[in-house]
Amino acid sequence: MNFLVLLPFWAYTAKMLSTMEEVYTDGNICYVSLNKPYRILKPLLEEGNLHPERFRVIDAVTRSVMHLSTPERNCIFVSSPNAFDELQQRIVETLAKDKCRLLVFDSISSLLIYLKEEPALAYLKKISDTAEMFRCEALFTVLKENLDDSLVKRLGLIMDKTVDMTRE
Amino acid sequence: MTELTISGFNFTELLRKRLPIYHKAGGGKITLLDTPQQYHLPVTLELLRVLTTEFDSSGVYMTTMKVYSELVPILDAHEVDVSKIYFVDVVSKMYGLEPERTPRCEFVSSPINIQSIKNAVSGYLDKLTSQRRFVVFDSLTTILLYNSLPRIVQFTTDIAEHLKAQHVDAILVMMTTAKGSTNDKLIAELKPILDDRIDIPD
Repeated sequence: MNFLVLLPFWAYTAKMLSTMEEVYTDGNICYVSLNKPYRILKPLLEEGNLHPERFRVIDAVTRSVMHLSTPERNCIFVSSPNAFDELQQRIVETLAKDKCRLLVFDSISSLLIYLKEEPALAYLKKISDTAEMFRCEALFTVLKENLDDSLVKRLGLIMDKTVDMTRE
Repeated sequence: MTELTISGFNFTELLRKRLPIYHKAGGGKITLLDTPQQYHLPVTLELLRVLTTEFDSSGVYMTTMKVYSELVPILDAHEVDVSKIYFVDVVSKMYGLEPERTPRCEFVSSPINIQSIKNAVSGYLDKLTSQRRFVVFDSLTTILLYNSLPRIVQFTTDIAEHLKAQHVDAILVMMTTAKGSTNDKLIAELKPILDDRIDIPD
């Protein structure tokens, strides 16, 4: 199963984390971050009672901004948010190695800064197929304010279910 | 210093001709500098070098691309006159660094705090005594990673109005890595406030 999760700007992280906390109580989670550095994400996971040791984070933002002197446990750094092939490769490696139950792709909004709709949809399909190949559920987050209705519909076609968390 | 040429296109010469600060001492012009990601760093360095060294202007540089401590040596090496720049570092704190306090740089907690970015830029503007003043926002693309599109449009419009009123020139740096949909939408939304646009070819 893969899910498109529409989130509002003001409660974006809180709603995303609470969804993970409520639904995925066990198993490893592969978290692909195109917009949050691991050093920010880790304390957020701790605050949300999400047990950071369950997470395998693929951080696509830190390395483009600063020199990394020490490696982080449970985190792989990708060179930039638009290093798409590298990102895909790290996802495959992580899912193969760590037997994750869930893949979180955060976020489609970030992807759309770098890609137009067609290539973005093709890329998301590839990620979704990869997750399915490893029998892993996938959760794709998106900031609803940045999308028009037609794109929401098109995204819905490659997802099994759309969850709109902006109405709560 | 060698001039910066990209695919046969002399960027340094173009800056000398096009930068509003050069044409009009009055200022208050908003320029969008649209660069492919692979040229982002050399383009930004050359922009700051021309502004501070050739035009003898002083200004504020908002950085989301490099942390302040890593940025200053790079600028120095490129002959940018850093004594003429105040920095607004939007990334150090977000990445968990605890930067040493300096009067030359304001460390904003995160790119989400756009009001703090605005306040930091405004605070430094009052300290600029030069006739030719500039603000470089580097980059709106990165700020967009952390914010919603409507928020960034509002932020940019507000700050552009403020800078125009103060006769300060602004250069908004965008990166058109793959010309993503949201980047295109942002450029379209900003059109009404732009006085000029410089596109670096791929």
